[in-house]
Amino acid sequence: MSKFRQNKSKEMPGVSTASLPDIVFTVLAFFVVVSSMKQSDLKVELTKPSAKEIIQLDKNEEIDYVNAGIPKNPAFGTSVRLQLDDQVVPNFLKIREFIVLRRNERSQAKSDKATVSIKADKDDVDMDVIDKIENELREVDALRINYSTQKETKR
Amino acid sequence: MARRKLQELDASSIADIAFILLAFIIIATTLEKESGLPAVLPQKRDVEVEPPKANERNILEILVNSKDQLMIEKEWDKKLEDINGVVKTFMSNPNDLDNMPVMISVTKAECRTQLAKLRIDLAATKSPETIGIIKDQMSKWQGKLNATELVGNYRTINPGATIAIQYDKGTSYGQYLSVRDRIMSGLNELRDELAMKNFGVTYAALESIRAEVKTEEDKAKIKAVREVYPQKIIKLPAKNVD
Repeated sequence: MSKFRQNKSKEMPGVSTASLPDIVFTVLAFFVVVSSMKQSDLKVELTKPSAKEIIQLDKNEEIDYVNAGIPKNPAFGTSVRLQLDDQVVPNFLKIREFIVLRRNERSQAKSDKATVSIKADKDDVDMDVIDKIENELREVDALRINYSTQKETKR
Repeated sequence: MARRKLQELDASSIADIAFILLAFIIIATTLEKESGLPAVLPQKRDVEVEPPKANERNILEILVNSKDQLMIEKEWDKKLEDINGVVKTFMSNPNDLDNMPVMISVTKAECRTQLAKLRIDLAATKSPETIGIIKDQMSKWQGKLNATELVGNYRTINPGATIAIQYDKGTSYGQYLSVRDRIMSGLNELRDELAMKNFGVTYAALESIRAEVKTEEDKAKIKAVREVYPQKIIKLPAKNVD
């Protein structure tokens, strides 16, 4: 009997926080492994088209983004504009400059495998714009492209 | 002198530091991976050549006009859902119809004889240009031979056949991609069937194996399936279509 009574008066020990850093570092490590860097903020209105047969690009793949849509800020114009990096440009010729610049930042082997991802609004952008983008890309020999889409819910 | 007891490092703030790092990583990165429909653009030519007039039966023409309406093989008022089936029959021509592409049978024996022939040719020539051409041919036949080893003798579409998408300048990007997507989905259904029959898994499952754990065998299987059902989609230059 007395054995049980002894503990009753003692105070509850506090939870040890010594392992907290370990737990947090584990979570941190998880996020570092599975996530990838965000690309620059979008300055054009963009609803990606949806598709079923999409293929996920490799995380380590070198990707350049060409965004096309109507600028969120009307100061940049009210019709379809391109966004390269974080700049909104009206001129398709800028694509060449952009690709070449990116190519110079990389090693030869990497830039051979680089992909250009075209992110364009599904309604506002028409095929004329896409054609112009593709022609510019062909001009600088960036032939591997990806039409960026979002996943459509399965059939 | 009395030795002072070594003080232990206070570790309570490490948790705070780790939390701050965690917060930074969560904000600066994204879990969403880039995905979409991949394509390869044709190389730039100095003079744009008109595509050679292909045999009518070898081309599946899908037309999208500026109002996003569809025409498949000269028939208006088609729906996106129709593309799937049309592509499947076009790519496989199961009943050997006259208005569908000619199918070619590829056999192991034929691949071997062709390779042997090319090897003799290769030994006989010295000009670097012809050697290049012959080597290209050889790798083509080698690919076919590898495919027959995995899936047995097969029928495939003749190399001249293509699925052509014709669009207007005003066609919306979304509609164009939907069309492309449906074509791929028809093609992938055929690929799934073939892979299921021969390997017991779908093509989609083979494709989705992560790059780090994909074995040579998986890659060979994917190649074989693609050899039987190649992706042949071309974009015709924009035309005015109402």
